[in-house]
Amino acid sequence: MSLTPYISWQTVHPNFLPVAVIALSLLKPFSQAMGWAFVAGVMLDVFSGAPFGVFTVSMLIVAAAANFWYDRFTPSVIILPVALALPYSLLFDVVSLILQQILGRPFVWSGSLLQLIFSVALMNIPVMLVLYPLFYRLNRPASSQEFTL
Amino acid sequence: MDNRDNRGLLLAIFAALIFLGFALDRLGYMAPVRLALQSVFQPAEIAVSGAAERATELSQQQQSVETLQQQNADLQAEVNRLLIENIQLKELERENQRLRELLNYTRNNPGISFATASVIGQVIGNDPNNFLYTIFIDVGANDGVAKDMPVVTHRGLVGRVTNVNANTAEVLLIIDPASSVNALVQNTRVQGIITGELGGTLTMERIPQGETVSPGDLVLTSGLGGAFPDKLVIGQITEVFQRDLDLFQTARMRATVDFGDLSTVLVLTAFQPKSLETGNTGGQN
Repeated sequence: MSLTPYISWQTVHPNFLPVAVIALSLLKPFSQAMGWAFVAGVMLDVFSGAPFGVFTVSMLIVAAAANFWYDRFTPSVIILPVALALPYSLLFDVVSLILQQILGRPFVWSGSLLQLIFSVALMNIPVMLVLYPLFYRLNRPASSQEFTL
Repeated sequence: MDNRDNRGLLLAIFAALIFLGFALDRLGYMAPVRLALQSVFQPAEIAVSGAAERATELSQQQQSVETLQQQNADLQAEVNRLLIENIQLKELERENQRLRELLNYTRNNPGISFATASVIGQVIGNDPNNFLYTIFIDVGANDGVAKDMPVVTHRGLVGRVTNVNANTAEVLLIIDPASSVNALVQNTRVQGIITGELGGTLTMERIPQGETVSPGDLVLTSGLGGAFPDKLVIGQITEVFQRDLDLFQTARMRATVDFGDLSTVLVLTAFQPKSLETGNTGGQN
């Protein structure tokens, strides 16, 4: 929160927490992935002005979707996590916006809004490049492969 | 743990907790929890914000274009100062004219002294989501800040206080879709309502058909509704949408405040916002 003014570009900043949850969901089993998603979602809900639960539900949905790939790819290769950062970031933003709209927040689904959502998702890709290797190193057993592209 | 039954149980627990949190939020019991947690993290936020600001300043000082940046900043500040001065002079001229034309002119002046009735707040955080335009400032109830007080910078209206803690406050920016401000066009005195749009732009709605509104016109707060003082600069009209079939015209605006670069704001503590619904102070527009 405090750093966002310094890393934002034209009022848009990357979303660290959803990217962290996506990365963890690719590396951790379902129950742990959902646990991290719940914690991250509650943090966002507490520090945000949105109705409570919006980001927790969005985070759980994204974590469940990302966890589909758990054990289905080589975790030491970063290509898939980076490729998934964009669609899952889009999913997170769209779900959270739909939930906010259902709960009465007034906004219009316009071209500029879609452009904004896409910009945020694009900014999340470099964040994944930083966070995924970090989580992989923290998560991997000593005998597993070194990290590669 | 990862079999189907446990998954179901885990999701059921999460669903119950979310529902509980949502229900408490709707009943208004989550606000103290949120504010308490924000208070706990406030020192860390201030520290991180300060460190980031210092780091930014240091990196800027080392750049070879420092002199050019300084000149540019000085010129920009001069332009802003002249813009504000120009608006104020125009406003004074118009007011003078109206006073001379109307002998029985009386004006309900709330008697606000902007110089003395304000507190300066440093922005210590933004909303973590890109689709909610709120900021957190390091002044709160202990500094005389109360809910619904207007927040400005030297360039114009920023928003209004939506939540107050002892030492922090949350400010809803005017570019948020949930914000609405009664406004008027400076030249033509045409009135409308300013709302925010996701993406950080402003829209002036409810402009009556037949009224002339042009790109370049300056828009100020009208003071109607009592939620904001009058004559605060909001922005400049960039595009007007007029269709004969519509009841009203709509205009897109550019805010004079740079919401991407908010660091210090002013809370107008002497202004008492009024609520038309309750007749008391502390309402919304």
